[in-house]
Amino acid sequence: MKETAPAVCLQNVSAGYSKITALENINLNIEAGSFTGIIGPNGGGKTTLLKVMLGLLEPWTGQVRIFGQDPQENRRLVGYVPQATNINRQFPISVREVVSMGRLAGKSLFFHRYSTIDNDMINHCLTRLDVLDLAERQIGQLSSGQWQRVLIARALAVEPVLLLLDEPTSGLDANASSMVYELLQELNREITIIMVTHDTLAISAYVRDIACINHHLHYHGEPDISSELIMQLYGCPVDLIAHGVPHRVLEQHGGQP
Amino acid sequence: MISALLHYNFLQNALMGALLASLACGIIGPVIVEKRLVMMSGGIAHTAFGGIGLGYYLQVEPMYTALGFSLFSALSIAQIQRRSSVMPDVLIGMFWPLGMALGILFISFTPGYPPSMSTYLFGDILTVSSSDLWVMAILDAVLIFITFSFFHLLQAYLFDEEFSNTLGLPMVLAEALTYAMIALTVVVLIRVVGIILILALLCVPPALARLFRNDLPAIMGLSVILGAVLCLAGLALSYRFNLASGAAIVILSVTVYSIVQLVLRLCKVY
Repeated sequence: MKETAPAVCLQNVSAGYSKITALENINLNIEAGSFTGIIGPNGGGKTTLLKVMLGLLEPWTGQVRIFGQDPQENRRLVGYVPQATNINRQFPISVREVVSMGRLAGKSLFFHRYSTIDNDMINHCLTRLDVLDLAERQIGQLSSGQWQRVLIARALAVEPVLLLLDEPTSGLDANASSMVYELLQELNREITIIMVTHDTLAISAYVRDIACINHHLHYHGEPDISSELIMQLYGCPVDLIAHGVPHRVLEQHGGQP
Repeated sequence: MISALLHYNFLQNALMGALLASLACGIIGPVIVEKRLVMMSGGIAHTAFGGIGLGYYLQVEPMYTALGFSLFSALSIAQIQRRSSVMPDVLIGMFWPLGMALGILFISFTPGYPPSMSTYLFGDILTVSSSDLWVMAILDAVLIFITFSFFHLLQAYLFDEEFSNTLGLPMVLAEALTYAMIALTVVVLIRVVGIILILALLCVPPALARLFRNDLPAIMGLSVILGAVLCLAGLALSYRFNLASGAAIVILSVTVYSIVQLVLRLCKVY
């Protein structure tokens, strides 16, 4: 792996589905080690951008490089945390089995068994996300916060250098959300994190860079977003409130309080 | 009935047939239920009728042509679904009657008196021959082998296809295996409950099992046992009261499921 290669490099990427263009001419460089939030309106192409980075969707034009490599060539670079609500939680599977899935990449699956190394890694991820005591539970018996942590544990079991998350706190209460964010912040010491989010708390307090996507890339940089940009992006003002976080205060809008 | 069982070869065959059928539907039933492929399986089952018609037309054992026909259509359906944007429901709505129509056409082309189709449509476990049993046993062995050898792949496919794709797991292979196994199961079940009644045996045992267990291997094991109990009890009822065997098994299965659900609900209330 090239040391200097950026975590994500998109060059002139356009992508979409049959007739609908979701992304147009995106140029984006995300440095290794960053903690980037992707924001933008619904239908603006955020999920498409994730799919392109994951190699699930072939872009129409342009080039995608993850640490200098084709995303389809090296699957073990990226850990993916899908939206928690997209998965059928009635499915008869235990927490341990879900996290174990992360160890299947690149293995021969004919009479596959998990090795001791795999099992150690699985236990390590379960412990790190504080779900080891829930390991034998069926996934339907977890709270939303616990379920979210299981999905993150599964992505970490891949041993990724880049973690992609799709709205990791949707449906979580404030407590569970900040627990997830603090954990991500801690993980960010070792791995690059990119997450799609609608949560202004995350943008103001935890994320170090943001990328605003609405078919085009409108902004990429530090999260002191101007209200004009938000107007341009969402077409209406959105509350940008720093939740009592001293180290990162957003630009005030509409005069002194 | 026990003494009759010792004396009559056809009853012994029926018993073996019921056990082999419950093995197949116990393994594949949970796969179908969890992946929401129940209607898809109904469709694949009905395409097998085209194969049976073809068998009569070509003067070949209909079980073999049904096997080839349903395997071919199951794999084609999986391909079409993957490559086109046709809604699964619409696709099912087309190939389901297409298979039946082809069967009718082939039979009408067959010279001589038209054969009775009710054995294949509604099943007749009392006429299962020992060559049928051999076919069923071999197909069962294939099903068990695939499920056992590719268990982690199948589990990943059933549970979360998108994540599996991000890992680069061979989802096309997993899907092909699943659809092929549905086709094999259909052929195993045709002689026991018939094409039209297959869905009940695919649904009821896993639906019952998942009320009590929540891990996939246990649900499969329990489904095999429940399927065997239901098939044998249905067979006994059909023998005792001279009922059509397929109908007896299906009615018993659905009744048992309803009663269990009712009892569980009462237990929750009180």
